[in-house]
Amino acid sequence: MILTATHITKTFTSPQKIKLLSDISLSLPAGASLAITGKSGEGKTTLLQILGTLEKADSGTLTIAGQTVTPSLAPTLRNQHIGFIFQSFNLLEDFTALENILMPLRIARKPASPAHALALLDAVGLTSRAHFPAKLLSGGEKQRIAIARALVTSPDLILADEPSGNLDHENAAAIHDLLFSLVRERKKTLVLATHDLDLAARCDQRMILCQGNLRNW
Amino acid sequence: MFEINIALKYLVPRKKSWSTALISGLSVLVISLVVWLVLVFLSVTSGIERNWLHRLTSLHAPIRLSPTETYYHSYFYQIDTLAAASRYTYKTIGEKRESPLSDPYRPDSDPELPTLFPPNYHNDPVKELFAALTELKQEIPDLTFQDYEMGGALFRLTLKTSASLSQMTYLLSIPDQNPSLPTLLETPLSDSSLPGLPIYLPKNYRDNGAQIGDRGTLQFTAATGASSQEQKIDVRVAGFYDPGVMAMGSKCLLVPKEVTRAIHAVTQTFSPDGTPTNGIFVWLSDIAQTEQTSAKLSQLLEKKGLAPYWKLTTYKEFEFAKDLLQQFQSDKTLLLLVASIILIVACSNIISLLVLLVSDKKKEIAILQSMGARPKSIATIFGLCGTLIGLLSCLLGTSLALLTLRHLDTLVSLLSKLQGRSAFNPAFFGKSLPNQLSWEALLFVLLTAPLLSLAAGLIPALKASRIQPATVLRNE
Repeated sequence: MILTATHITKTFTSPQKIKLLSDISLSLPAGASLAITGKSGEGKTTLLQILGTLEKADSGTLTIAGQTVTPSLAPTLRNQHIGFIFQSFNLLEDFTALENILMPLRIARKPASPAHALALLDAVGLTSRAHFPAKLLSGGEKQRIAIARALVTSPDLILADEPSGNLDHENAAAIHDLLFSLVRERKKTLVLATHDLDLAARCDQRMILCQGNLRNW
Repeated sequence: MFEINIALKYLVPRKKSWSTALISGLSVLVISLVVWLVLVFLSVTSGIERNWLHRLTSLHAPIRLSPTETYYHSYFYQIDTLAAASRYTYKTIGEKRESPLSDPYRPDSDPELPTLFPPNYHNDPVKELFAALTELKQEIPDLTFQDYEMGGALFRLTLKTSASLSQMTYLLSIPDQNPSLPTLLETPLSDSSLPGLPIYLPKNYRDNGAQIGDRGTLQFTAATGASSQEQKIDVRVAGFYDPGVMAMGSKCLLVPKEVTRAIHAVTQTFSPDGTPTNGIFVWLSDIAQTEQTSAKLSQLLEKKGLAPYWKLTTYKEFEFAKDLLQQFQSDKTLLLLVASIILIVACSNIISLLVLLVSDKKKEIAILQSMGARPKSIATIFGLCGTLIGLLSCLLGTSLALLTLRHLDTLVSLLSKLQGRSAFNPAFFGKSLPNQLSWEALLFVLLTAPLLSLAAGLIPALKASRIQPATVLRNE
């Protein structure tokens, strides 16, 4: 299994006590794709952040690529086994597209070969934008760069939080196609949080998060 | 290292974050100005100290060997008063050195030794000392040494205007082996074919009308068993010299050894500044080597059993220089303390700058964390920002200081013009202020400014490393 979450719970205490996730368990094999849907505020993003080790669960265990997540191991797991795609792209605005893609490799202190990054840029169709600062790119272009960045370390798990939430319909469709083609081509495990039922339908599994519980639909 | 890459990116001023750029620019400016000020001030004061040190030690040597009480009570010193070959008078170190006899006493013809007369159980401490110095010279070729004698006499000088000068003076045997002597003498050493012994006067005598060729006398009292007798030596002004900044310099005449020996033979002289009236000067080409050479010489004296006879003193312990040098040291320590405080205040600006930068870059920090950057790396980025600001300021400040030092004379003359009088008295500071960059000062700012900047960056760095990525990204 690439991802195993067991009995995950999360409660926020400020400004008021809300139990967002209660006893969530799931497991995903390599190459699987899972769509998590649910109403706004149900905790989709929080769940994704817990699965991505950005947020600590109150209880429960999380195993990624066979390794149990601990606070000291979390940054390494994020760098080597997880790729994030955010709704608001989250690129480093002052860096070029190429630099953004290479950043996870630089953080890992691995040889950051521009050829590898350029191949990914080619795969997302943005070779011509390699040296453009991220702040000058359009929303669709930014998300393509974010997808390339998520794949640059060849992670086992891709976590996408509303990947097309900030894009128009046309761009959103293009991003969906690109995401699924790249993930499937590279046999990555994908977990995405979305309101878009059409997008969710393209995943192998679909689950809904409602009142802190995750169930199939 | 991606941390450097990011830190450099953060330090480049951007239109969007003009407030950060403004504070950043101000921080760099303030630290640069402090670095500039510290470098210029410390360089000039170090130069002044060096000049004063040179002037203090130009007539005296940086190392002095003087006879101890053990020497004066030894058989070798005392025996001359009982030996006909020594004309029953004490000898100076120079005379002892030149004497072919280490032991002039002849038991068959000289008076019997008193019962408590010191025993003769050591070789000649004077000749052995010079042998030791010659041995050391083989190891340190630029070392020179010479015995000196000091005396006191009433100097009467008849000027060409028929007026006369009369003053109690100190006499120092001409240190012709002193490597600095040619620069001190305003006229070269003259031959002695002219009548009267050639003497060299401090240059202040020239200001009072003395000229080369003026004739005069040195008068001193020779005490005999029953009375005292006044003696005179005819002298001729052969030139003038720069006495440096010694307190007694303006009253110290350079005279041939015959004069000081004649005085030593009949009377005892005490120097007002504590300088022993007979000893050996040891000169070095580089005064910075004084301590090292002194240590070697001390070891050699111990090894040869000469240590009890000779007191080794360096310029730092000379009576006439000690207070001044200690004052210089205290001033320097105080200045470094003040400079450190100003640098701390200047570098503390970096804290506010980096706190602002951390707030500004919160989202980017969270993004980097989502890509796997560790808290340590995040802290390093902001620590580097502080250090880079410190280094950049050092570079700017040093460049400014070099520029200022290069054009120091122009600046001083401009300052003098504005004041309407000389900004720095040439009598104390020389014709121009020293303008060599002090390596000591440079090392001080190069170490303290980046270190303080790094320290200033620690709090913001810690703050940055504690950012919770999930919270920041959720709120975006």
